[in-house]
Amino acid sequence: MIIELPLFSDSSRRNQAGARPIRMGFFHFSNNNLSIRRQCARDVGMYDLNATKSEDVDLCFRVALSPKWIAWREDEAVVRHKGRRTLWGLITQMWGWGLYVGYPYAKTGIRGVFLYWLNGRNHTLVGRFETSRFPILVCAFPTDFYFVNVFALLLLLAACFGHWWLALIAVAGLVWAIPRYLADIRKITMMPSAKVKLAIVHYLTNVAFTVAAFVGALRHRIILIPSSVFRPDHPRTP
Amino acid sequence: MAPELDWRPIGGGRYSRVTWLLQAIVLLLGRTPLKSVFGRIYDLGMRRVVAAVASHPAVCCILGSGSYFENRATYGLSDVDLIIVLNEKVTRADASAREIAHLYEREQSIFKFLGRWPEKEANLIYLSDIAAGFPAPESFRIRYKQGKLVKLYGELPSGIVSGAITSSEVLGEINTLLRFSLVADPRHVEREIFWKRIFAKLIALTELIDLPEAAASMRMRLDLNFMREDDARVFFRRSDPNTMFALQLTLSRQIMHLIAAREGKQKIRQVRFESQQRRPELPANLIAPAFMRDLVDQQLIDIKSVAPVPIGFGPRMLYFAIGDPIPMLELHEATYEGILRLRKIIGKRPPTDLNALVSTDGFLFIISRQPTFVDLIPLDPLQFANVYAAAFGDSLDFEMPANVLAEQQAGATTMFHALANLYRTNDSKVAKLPHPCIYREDEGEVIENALRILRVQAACAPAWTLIQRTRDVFEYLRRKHPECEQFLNELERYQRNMYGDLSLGTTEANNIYHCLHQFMYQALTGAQTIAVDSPHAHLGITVGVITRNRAGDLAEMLESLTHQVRLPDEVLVVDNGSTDRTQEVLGQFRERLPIRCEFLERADIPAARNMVIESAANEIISFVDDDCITEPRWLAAVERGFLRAENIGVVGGWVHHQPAPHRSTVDNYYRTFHHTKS
Repeated sequence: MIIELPLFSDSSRRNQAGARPIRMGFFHFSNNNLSIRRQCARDVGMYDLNATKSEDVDLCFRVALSPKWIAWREDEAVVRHKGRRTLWGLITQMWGWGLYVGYPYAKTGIRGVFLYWLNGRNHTLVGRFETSRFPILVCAFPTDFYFVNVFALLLLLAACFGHWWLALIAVAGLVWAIPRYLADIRKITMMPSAKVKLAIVHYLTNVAFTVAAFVGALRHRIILIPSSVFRPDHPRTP
Repeated sequence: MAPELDWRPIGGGRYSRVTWLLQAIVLLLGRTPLKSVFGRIYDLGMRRVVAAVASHPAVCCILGSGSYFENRATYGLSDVDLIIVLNEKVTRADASAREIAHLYEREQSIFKFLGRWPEKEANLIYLSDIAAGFPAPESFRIRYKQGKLVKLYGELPSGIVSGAITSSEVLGEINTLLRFSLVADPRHVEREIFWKRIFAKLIALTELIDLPEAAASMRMRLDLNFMREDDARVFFRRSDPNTMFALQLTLSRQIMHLIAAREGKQKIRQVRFESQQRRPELPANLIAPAFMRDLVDQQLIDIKSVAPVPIGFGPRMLYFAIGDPIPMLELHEATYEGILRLRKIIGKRPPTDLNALVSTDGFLFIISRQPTFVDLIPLDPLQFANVYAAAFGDSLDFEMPANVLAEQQAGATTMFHALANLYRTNDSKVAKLPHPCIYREDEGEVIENALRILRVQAACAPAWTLIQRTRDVFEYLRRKHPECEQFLNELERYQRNMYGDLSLGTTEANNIYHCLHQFMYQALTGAQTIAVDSPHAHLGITVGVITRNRAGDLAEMLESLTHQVRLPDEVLVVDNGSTDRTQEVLGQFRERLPIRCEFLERADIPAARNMVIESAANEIISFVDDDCITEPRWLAAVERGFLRAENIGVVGGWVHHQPAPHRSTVDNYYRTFHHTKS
């Protein structure tokens, strides 16, 4: 899963998740490797029939919020999953995930603004802002991916309207943000041409996922800006 | 990725130039009529912070100590120690401490003199810990017994602290002061005012143990002349930390010598566990990491190997592995400078489990790489006489003052009982944390910790059995508790398997975690006969698969299920409207797997999953997708997960990417960004 989720069970207090390294799927297990006790499933209300494609996220949210049950990770419980074979298949998969991920957020009924700025290089939380005083739920997990897009958009605007000083700012911003955004890919040992292709695929899937999540969340009257796809850490990292 | 390293500020906090300047301004203005204004600001700050913290329902009482509460405050420099006692309903796993921190920091952002929260956090007292049998922190006990605590809110329950100040408490305080000097911000340590505080506390300790003459002679020392001077003068002077720390060490030793001289000494003869041969000496280059050997080349340190011994006789300092020789770094330069250099060098290393003894000027410390800083733990020669005997004499015999020994033994017994309570509480139930997360535990660490605690228990009176190999801990326990032989054999095999050692064979003891807890809480309370459940237990598991027109993938998945080391009790496949040869594939596996098939015409995955949960023959349902391949130990791990505790509702693991037959950019993407996911 792509979104790091500090479940806002009590938004008026400081969330300990902030002190932890951020990594994908920290709070939930994917359905392709999820085992459940029947009594636990009954206690938390079984799978939600309305939670298309995000039923695992929704179920794990409810387990996390339950006063009794907990979710446990066994490092040896490993399955291998076959990914999509084509770029189109990958993009539609990411689009599908994104489109339905807003539902579990909306379902929590929590309102407020929750901003978490994530460092894509080491997957840690850089800064945060939390307030429960807002009529709707706004969740944003900006990463370097968003900064790249914002500066690229600025550059486009500057070029259109001939604002050279704005173009300079945008270029400086891109010089700062692009190496950070590409940090994961730069670390990989691979031919340069393969890295370029990988960067393009990574960018397209990020666009598909983040746009889908934003649009999908709007359908549930919440604003969700998910984090972009990280390279996950070693499995033993907590 | 190593977290941001902060090797300086523990205990004293950061001491920046700005802090110094602010202190200097307040100190100078405090000598003018403005003093009364500062007094009011301090009073207001104290009232506000006490009111804020007391508003939290977990707070039972608040106590204060320090010069401010004794009406001899030097504004700008005064200690304002708050001791916050939390009621019995609150445990360390609760969110209360963070909520109180939030309340405190809100006030502290205005009244800076209150000090940072981490300093106060060390003074939090959990009555639940005390109820479980853990002793109250030493510094609290000693201040309480001195009558130096001022009640600011609530009532402290009676019976938490009793009796007179013990030698061990004084030794603990001396160690705390030594540690404080070594880990405080070097910019603070180079100020004479820092040392004035340290020596004042040291002299006060000497008076506490009824040694007024020794205290008076310390006061009269020429090199402590600054103790008689005004704070404002001392504040602006620098001092040499090397000289001052050497003096602190000398005076600390004098106090220890006086404590030892007051009581008779008791000789102790440790008995090496009989099954073992004497270990061959390992060369120093094998016991210390390479970067330390660079320091040897620079003639800054020598590395020696110390035979493995427990650190003292309490189950508190479990820093070193049972069987490995302990690396000892002998410093060649001044103690303070040498230790600071070591802390900096070790601090640049990744936060691995790096611990070593440091020997300097005849005194021993433990240096320990913690996740965000490098800690120093002083080991005084009275409480840790066994370590000194091993380090400097390689001897099994040593002497301890009789009173210190008696206190150590009483303390150890209390701690063993408290740990037993903890094991009992955690058996079959995982304490839920205040924030949402996925729970996991390093099993190797759990077993190793348990063995280290049991080894300390064996090292205590009356047997004084010194165990220096992990396998001997098992042998010792087998002889002591023959009724648990099966469990101990399985535990040993299980532990060795974790490190890739198959010499004792493999084991699938899936209930070992629960059995270990059972064993520990009985062993630590000194039970003569211990009863544990079988390390092998069985839970019925149904594997649930939802499939739709993926007959080829489904066949591969079912094939992988047949290779499980723990086979499923039922495989429940929900055919979500397939029109391909799915049924034919299922038919092929019916003889090898207990397959049952249900049909759900409409494509509705959540409904299909609910159908599996409700109609499964077993209580545990493991979902796997038809486009996955299970690793052979997958189901065994799932079963082990559920057996750990009754409140584990969901067990998951990792999803790795199955590489495609032909490499492509899309496959590279999955390998890079989805090689593991939940």
